[in-house]
Amino acid sequence: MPFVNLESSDGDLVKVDVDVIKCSVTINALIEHLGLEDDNEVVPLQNVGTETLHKVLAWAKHHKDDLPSVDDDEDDPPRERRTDITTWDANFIKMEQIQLFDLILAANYLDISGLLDLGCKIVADMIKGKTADEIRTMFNIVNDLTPQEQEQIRKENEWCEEK
Amino acid sequence: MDNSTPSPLLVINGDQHDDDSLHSEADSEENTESEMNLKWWNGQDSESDPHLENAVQEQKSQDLIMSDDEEDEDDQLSQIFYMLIPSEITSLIFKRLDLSSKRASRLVCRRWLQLVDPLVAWYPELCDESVQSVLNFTEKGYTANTLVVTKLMDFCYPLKGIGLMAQSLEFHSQNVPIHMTMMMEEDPTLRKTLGISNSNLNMLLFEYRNIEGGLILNSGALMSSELPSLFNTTNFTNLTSLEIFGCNEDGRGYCMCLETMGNMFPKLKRLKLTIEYHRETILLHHPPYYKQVFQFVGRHCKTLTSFELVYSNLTDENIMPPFIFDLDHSIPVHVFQDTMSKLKNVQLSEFTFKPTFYEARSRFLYGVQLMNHQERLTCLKLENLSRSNFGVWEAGVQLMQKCSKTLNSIHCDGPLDEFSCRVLQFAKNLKDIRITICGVKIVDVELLPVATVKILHLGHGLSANQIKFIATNMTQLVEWYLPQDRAQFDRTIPKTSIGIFKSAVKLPKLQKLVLTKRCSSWKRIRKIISYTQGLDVGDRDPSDPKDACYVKIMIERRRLELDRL
Repeated sequence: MPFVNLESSDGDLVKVDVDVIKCSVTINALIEHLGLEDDNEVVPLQNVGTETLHKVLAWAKHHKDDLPSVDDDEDDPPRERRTDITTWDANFIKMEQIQLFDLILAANYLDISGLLDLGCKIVADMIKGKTADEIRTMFNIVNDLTPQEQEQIRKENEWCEEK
Repeated sequence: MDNSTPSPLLVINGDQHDDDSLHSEADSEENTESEMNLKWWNGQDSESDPHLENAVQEQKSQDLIMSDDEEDEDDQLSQIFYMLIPSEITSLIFKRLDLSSKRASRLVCRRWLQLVDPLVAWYPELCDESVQSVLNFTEKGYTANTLVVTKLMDFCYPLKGIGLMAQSLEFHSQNVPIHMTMMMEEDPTLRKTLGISNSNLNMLLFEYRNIEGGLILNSGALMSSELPSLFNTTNFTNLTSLEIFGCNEDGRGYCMCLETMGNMFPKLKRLKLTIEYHRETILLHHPPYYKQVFQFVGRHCKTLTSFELVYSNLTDENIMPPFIFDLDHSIPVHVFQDTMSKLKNVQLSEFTFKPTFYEARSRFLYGVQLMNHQERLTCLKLENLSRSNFGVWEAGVQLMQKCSKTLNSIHCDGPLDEFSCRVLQFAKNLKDIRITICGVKIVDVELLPVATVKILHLGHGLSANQIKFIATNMTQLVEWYLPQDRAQFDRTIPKTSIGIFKSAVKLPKLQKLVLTKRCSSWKRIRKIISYTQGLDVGDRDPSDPKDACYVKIMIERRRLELDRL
């Protein structure tokens, strides 16, 4: 079974079964582009740290036998597809915010749609049902809006509807 | 925990037109779900995960983000969300939010505001109090779906104009649509309308003369019956949808709406007219303008696909039938014939017709002419038919047969004769059929296209065999209205019973069942409720015997003990 060596941005090498990482469109393309022939070739991943890489691989390993994700059904708006999170995924995604955001960035860079979906869903769920204050506290965001601006935004909020 | 199955619900309801329960149920389900997600997320710290622990052990100490220094971490944290900014990730996140979370997110910081704004639709409301806000809003250069104009007096029109890109324009007298304010007629302050002055109206109409969406005119919003000059000169050449609520106790804006009907909108696809009267005296001074309406429809035969004509608030209690208003006389013969011939060419996909029962004959002739020439209608609604509309009903039945291949939705409120489902036997696209009124016999139910119908309402007096047939064969049913009200007068009609309930809930896809309390007893209703395992049953008041006909029970289907049935 062919293997590939991934090099994290921290300079660590991780040997991975190609079958496991095939969910990453980016790595597939890199392998093809670099024309890797033997198991000693290295694929550099400048945007993914070691810790994150291991998490990505843990996820990929668990999901390697998943059926390829079906193309988005026109009839199904994204909001209705968000419900299914397996217990495994639920446990997997329990992590610090920073790690979570790193993971999302990595999933985006490596183009792993399943993992990206999972991460975004989790962050969206964190935001849901909270007030602006609570959200700011949760993500430690500084409020850079003036009281006048906030007043205007509140007024505008009465005018906005689902697209 | 299976949280993903849709929750069917059961409604036992004296009011057969009540659809709210479905929505409220859907809402509450969503809330529960997000609450659960939240709990689950918040519980993260108490558990650990073997996969993660492995990963953490292999983690490099120089990992910057995992600094032990708390202050540093705070600094890092404040940047976290911005790390995601350059990518398209944030929109993936924000897109998943419900509206109220989107609204909260807009208030978080400037960055978030910019990220969320493209994901919502805008309906800015221009009124005296909001002029400055609308001006601030327009400076952002957004496109609004609809600019809603209410209560804009002379002096408040922004001198520099609105300048907002909008798809549609709506003129309302209040936030409450006129037909709602009818209910509050006792309170004179609520009936008072502050409209839009003519000069404001003119400016707005001019400014938005190129809109491509809809124009909604509520006659109550208009201050004066003087005709704004723009309606005679501006033609809104891109307009695709025109809605007019013509209703005014003193007739102020009514004539202006009439004037609109004299125009030609070359791209108009949809016309909706709702006309309301309060007193017969208004009818005397401002007769129904069906003449203009049907001329207008004929004039737009090339583009119009959806036409809705609704005369509302015309019940026996409000107005005594003034048969003297035979307005046919006011239409010259050549005009009448010209309109009739043009109506032949109108091909609609949607047609809604709610006639008045005392109106002149010509309108029925116009309406029937229009119906007789439809060939590919998908949606037919004939509302509030009465004896004097018999011609309309007959044309409607013929239309159902003729367009049975294309029709997917039929609503007939008040068929006047025995209705045979035979006319629909080849309606292979029919999904939604509601033919409703007490005292009308429905026959040949077994000829309905059983494989497609999802929503069914066949009046108030189905026989036991018919109910059995439907419960056995219409396996696609999602909503079933089964108010057996006629059982009160007709012993051959089965009352609302446990048997009916049992057979109905066995339909595999049924999500909503509406039964009536009016011809059942509390004992039966309680028993039906008992099958639901005492789950969230809302909107009922068993303690009030007077509230005999209004019972609404919502039940999550998956938790019904179907085995016990």
